Amino acid sequence: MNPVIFSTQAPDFNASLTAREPSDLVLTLIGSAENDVRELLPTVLSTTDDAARSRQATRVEVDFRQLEFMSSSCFKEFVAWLSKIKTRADPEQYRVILHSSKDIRWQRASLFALSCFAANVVEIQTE
Amino acid sequence: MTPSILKVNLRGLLATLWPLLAAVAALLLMATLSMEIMSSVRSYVTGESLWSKGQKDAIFYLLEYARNHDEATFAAVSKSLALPMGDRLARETLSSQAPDLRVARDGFLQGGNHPDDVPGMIRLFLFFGRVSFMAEAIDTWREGDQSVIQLQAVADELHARVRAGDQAAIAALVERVDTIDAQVTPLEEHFSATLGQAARATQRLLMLLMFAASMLLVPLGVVLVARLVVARDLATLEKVSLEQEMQIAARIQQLVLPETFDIPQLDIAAAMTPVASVGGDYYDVLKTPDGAWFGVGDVAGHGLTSGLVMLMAQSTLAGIVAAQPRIAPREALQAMNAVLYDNIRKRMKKDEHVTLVLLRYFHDGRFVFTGAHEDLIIWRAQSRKCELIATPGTWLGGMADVAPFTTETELQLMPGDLLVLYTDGVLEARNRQKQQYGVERLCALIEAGGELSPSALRDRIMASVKEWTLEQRDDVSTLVVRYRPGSGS
Repeated sequence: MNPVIFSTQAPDFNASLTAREPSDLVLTLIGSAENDVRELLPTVLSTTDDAARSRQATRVEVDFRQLEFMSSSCFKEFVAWLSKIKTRADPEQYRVILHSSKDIRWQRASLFALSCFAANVVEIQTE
Repeated sequence: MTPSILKVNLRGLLATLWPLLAAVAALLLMATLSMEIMSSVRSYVTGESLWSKGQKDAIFYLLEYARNHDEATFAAVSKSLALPMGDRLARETLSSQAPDLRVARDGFLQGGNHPDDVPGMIRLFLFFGRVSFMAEAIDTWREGDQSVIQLQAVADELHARVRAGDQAAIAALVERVDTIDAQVTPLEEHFSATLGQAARATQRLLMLLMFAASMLLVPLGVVLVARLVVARDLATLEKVSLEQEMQIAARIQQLVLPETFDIPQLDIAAAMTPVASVGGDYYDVLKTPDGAWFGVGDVAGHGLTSGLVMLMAQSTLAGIVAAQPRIAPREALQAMNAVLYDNIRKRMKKDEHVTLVLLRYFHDGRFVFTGAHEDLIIWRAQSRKCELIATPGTWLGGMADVAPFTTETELQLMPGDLLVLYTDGVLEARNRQKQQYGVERLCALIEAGGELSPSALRDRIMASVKEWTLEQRDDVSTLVVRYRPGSGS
């Protein structure tokens, strides 16, 4: 088990940030991110960003494979996060790997659309 | 969320009501204090009765002892004197610089006072001992105690003289006892009168204070209630005003949606069921000389901003198509994005984005589309099956240039084929078990009703989604297009 840095949950939703290696963080999202989860996401993403910067992480993986649904309002928070990373100078910039499931239909189109907001730092891996 | 709203409201309510609550608390404190003072004064009056009884009993037994010389009678003298002596102990320690509360308590108990009354008696002595009425009573008490000391001395001497058989001295001591008794009686009356007067004065003073406090509370209460009423009325006015604005915005949204369609070779039906608040769904059909433009999209989020962005999207596309009806879809999309990005991010400083697919239709049944939205559904008349066509691209309004991520895809409708466009409100509608409506259910419905007219199929889809939905949380929009060469104008 990777050490847990941060964990939070809402009804039908769970987010946890772990460190696979000191410079490799994994944000795992499980369940369903409805509109009410939007209030949690700024904290989840800013904590992830703070942890990545303080550890001088070179990559942050976001695992969507167990996320059944994400509302467009929640995607707004990811757009803001990626837009921020994209504009950073090199030492503070890290790569973002989006893990998607080929069995969850919405992830294909939506994660691609999301990745365009920071195409230079985002990579999608579909399993 | 509800708990946080409740918290904020409670905080606001407390911020407004605290002077009233503080005044009520002060009034309660004053009432409690009044009762305690009155109770303690009553305890002293009772204590004085006990003190007086002890002193009178002692005189009675002393005179009896002088007559019968019985040691048992003399013991009764000592026992009777113990009561006022106990009160004296309490008074002396409470009057000292460093009162010993334990000695005071034991003294009052020895004086025959009820244990429940003792703490109040001690507090009254300590806090009000220098106040006029109490100071005067204590002075009288001190004088009374002098007579008790004298009685004790007379008793000791009488005891000795009785043992010696000195009748002359005994007679003189009896006279002395009578003199002391005569001196004490007015003191006792004065003590009781002082405390009684003090009790009445205190009662009047406290009543006056409570009346004055009540008189202050009434206007304070009126002012506070008036403030609350004004605040509530203002909030209601603001709420009504906001609701009216939202209704107007929602109405404007509805007004810009096309109601009738007159596109050659196409039968078209569309509908939107908005949520109570302003939503962000968008669809449009714009006729051109060589066909038409279709746009279907959704602004991320709800509320006035989303509604405004939706109107911007509608106006921008209408303007672009009016100016350049033959523009390439990807160029139209890039132009729309430039306008939306500038407005949303730079001018409004908001973070909304728009999911949108643009389709350019040609009379021969060909569609060229671009943008990123829900999958397009094509129902093929020949196979009676649905095909899902992905819309690869990115969302609008979030980045300055979407050109690198904009592609064009072409699809061909054959006679009788259906094109079904919809927004996420259809697929994400949830039932009681929190299951989403989903694209599979939508396709099954379309396949079952593929032969229906577009308007009938549209109605069936909207009814099915409505029936499925436990609580509508998003706009629900559907646009059904049948390619029917020879139809339309």
